[in-house]
Amino acid sequence: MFAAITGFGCICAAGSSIGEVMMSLYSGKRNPAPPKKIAAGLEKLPPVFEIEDDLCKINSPKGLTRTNRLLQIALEEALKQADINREQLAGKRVGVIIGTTVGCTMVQESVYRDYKNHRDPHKESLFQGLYNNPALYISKEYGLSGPATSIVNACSSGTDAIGMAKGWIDSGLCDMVIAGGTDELSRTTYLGFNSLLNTSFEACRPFDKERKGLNLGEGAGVVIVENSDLAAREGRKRLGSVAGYGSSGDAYHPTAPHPAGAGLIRATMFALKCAGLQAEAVSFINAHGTSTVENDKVEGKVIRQIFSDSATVVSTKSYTGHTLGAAGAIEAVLSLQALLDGRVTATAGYENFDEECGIAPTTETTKIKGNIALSNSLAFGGNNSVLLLKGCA
Amino acid sequence: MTAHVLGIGTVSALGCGIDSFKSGLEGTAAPLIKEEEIKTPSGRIRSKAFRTEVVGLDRFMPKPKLRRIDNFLQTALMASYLSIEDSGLEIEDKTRTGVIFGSGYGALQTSLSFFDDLIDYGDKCASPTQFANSVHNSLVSNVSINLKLQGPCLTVSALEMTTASVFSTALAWLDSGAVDYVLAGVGDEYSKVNSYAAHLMGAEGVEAMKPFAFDECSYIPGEGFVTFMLGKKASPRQYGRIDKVLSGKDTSLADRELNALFLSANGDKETGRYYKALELPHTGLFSYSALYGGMPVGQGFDLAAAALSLKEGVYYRSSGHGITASNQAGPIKIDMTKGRTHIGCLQYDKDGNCSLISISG
Repeated sequence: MFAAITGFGCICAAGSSIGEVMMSLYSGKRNPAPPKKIAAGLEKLPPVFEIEDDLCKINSPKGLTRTNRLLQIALEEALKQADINREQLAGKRVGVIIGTTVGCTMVQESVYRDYKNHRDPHKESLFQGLYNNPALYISKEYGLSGPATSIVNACSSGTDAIGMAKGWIDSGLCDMVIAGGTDELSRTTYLGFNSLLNTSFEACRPFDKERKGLNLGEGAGVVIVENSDLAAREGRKRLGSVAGYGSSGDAYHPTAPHPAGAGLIRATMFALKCAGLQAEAVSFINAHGTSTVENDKVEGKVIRQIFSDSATVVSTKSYTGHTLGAAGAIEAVLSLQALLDGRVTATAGYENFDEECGIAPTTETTKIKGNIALSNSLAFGGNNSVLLLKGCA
Repeated sequence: MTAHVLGIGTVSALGCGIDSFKSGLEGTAAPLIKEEEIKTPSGRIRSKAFRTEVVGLDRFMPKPKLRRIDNFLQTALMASYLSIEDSGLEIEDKTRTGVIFGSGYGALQTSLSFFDDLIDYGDKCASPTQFANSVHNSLVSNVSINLKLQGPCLTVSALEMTTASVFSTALAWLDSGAVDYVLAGVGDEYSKVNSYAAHLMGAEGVEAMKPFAFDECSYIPGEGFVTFMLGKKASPRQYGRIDKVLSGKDTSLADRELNALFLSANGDKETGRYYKALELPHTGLFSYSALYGGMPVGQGFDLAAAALSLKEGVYYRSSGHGITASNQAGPIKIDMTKGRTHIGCLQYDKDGNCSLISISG
């Protein structure tokens, strides 16, 4: 028995389904622009990867946050691919584990403004943020009986969610786990990252010598992880599996990565050990690749150290933006589809080799050999998480 | 999957450290309850809250450094240092110690302070420090940095199911062999918004929490942090063994061989209805939320109480008003001659989801 993947889905600025997103990626299409849905009183607005409203249509109850609406769109796609309906879910021990950053905020800014200005926010609006905890929302909405938790591990949340889903399956806690990540663009993160001076006023350029910082994005990614025996018994097609997962803290700095990537090295080695694989077995690496000076420098060094400088590396954030708590999940979904397609996309924006990074990501759609993808996530606070995904083409 | 509780650190309205917590359970120390005025739709009211004061963190960290650390992080750091000290462990390989924290609301006051700057001074004045510290996982990262713990680091949030999420993950880490020890903790931070929310929940003019009065809203918000040093191997100083963590809709109590049940009922009517609907035993039923206040992660403090009960061989008298057999009986000596004693810590959320953490000794 192992943690099989029988369905996946995603929505982001590049498209509202995995098919649309891959089409954008393979054609090199990307459209970062100043935000339309959030207002910010800044002289110059850093561009973002924002989802068009018409891509985000779903019949949803009143008061549902955009974060959960995005999650539900990705989940419906994943369930459809896995050929599972709501009734079938109700008969199983189904857990939910979702990464997020803004999805677990108790009080939203607009509600707090009302409170602070003595406009007496109502119970419903005050608790809206609170009761839109993504994992609890999905568990309730789909009538699920297993454990439900949201991972709030900053930028590695989506990766951690899928890694933990493997643990829930391996330990027999669940028959099936809905795992992923979701985040909407919000003023809090937009202004917060701007204050940290690590957003770029141009389209992001992962690993490029001239990179200037990240672009925020929004979206959701979901994978259906289940007991492989159950999937086989019920005739569901296996698309892949969660082969390994590793996580390790730098214990170094609240916002900067360890200069030698000590935590990322440990996480990578643990993920490989967990999967019973050698570094040579990895077909390609979907890097965290945020385009910040420090992240790309450290991540590049570690990739070169463990996988050699000829490893196939891509950063799909150049098409999706940095979707924070959703990033790891979206990147896992894109990596799975790349394994099924036998090719990875070019890393948009990359042109100039940076010796400090020491790696050159893809500059064109590239065929891959083998069926193992590695997806990195490096989070605020120095957490490093690594997923190994196996594709079943 | 099991884990031994090797050390506990508490920061609550009862003070800092497991001895202060024990004094509260024994009834020889009273919780710190502060009252302040808040504005509500029904006018200005006086509202109570269980508050914490971190005292003694300078035993572990230089004083100048403390000035730059916000209150919530101080509670988490204090609880973490205390639990490691309580365990007596000398951790040799810090890459094999994981840290997992959970919080229902995260760093609430820091998040609101970030908003305050935006509201009062404009978007250009967003504070990078407050933004970084408002992120849920800032506690785990700062604790891991200060304690130099380099294993996996994780933060979870699932409202009243948070504590169960933390412990099920900690047990899974230990079981997988990824770590030797886990520093597992839960906490929440008070802000005036909590009191406003409590008022909207129906808590008006509440003088004291009545955990067993399930039909009555007697919720008083609280805050604090509790951490547990967990390991796979038992130690002579340990408190007990966490045997099981269950959560979901189907966590029935019928098939659990429990000697006592600690309820996280906290005067909230919306969750009170689920406790009321349970077929509760007439004996061996306890609640201690009236010692630390209402918060989503109350189950963590109940687990600390259960661990202490097993170590000391007594059940402490329930706190707060309300009538139960256990409450009337006062301190009860546990008969340890009949094999292991199993205590279940039970918490419901507003949707009827339930979590049960079972500890034995």
